Amino acid sequence: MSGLTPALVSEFWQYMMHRYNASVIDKRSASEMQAVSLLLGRLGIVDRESFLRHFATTIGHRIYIPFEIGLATADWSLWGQLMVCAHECQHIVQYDELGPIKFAWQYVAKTAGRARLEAEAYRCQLELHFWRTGQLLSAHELASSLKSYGVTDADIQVAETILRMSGESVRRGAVINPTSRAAIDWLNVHAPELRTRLS
Amino acid sequence: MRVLPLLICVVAVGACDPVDHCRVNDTRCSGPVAQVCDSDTRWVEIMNCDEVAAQSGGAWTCQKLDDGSGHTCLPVEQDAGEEGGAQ
Repeated sequence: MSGLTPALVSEFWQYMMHRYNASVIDKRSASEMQAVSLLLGRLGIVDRESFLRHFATTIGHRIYIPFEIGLATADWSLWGQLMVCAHECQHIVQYDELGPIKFAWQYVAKTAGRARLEAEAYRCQLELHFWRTGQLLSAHELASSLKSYGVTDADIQVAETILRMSGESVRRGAVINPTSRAAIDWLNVHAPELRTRLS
Repeated sequence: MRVLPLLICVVAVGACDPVDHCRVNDTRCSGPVAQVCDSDTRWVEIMNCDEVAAQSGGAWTCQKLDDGSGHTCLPVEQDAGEEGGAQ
């Protein structure tokens, strides 16, 4: 029983990066992220410092992360690193489905669009946590995470509904997001011991 | 004659506003798709039950939850008689 190790998390990221044709970049040293943080701060979407320190960001197929993969910190546990990988890959799926212009329009220009895209990505956390523990994360708490994204209270309520309805399906055995499916399939093969055995 | 301009206005407004507006946070089933009304008062997808079935196995349809709290994809109950009896 190897458990959740830095090596496992690193291998998981490598698998997902390959599967979704993605690259991972250190957000803290990426000059483009400094520019994006200024833009998002001025648009009122997210606080600049918070954006750089506490959020992973995906643009196209490039994932910018504020942590070193496999190195657990107070903000980023190993399991948190694993879940955020699936979350960011779900944004790649959205980007590919919508195309760059429509995705950017929905995410940047419309709070309703941004909230929905994020709620769908947060569904990865919901699904992976359920796979591991058999418990559902609180839809209310997950949706409250969107307060940092410059969306309205109504958007947060809709996000909560999306996550609550998703939870009803997940606890009956659904896997909704394709990136969650990919992650769970990989974990079932490489780290089945992480899953709580439910009697 | 006064009816004609009014009729034209009504038709014009209808033609320019074909969007199916809804009440924010309501949910519904639209075929196999569970939807929620977003803050722009437009129906958007929560999930597609056909895709859920493809990924999760079994048959899933969009249904209203028993407690009336919303609509989502739920597994289709298999009739034991169809399978030759429950095991």
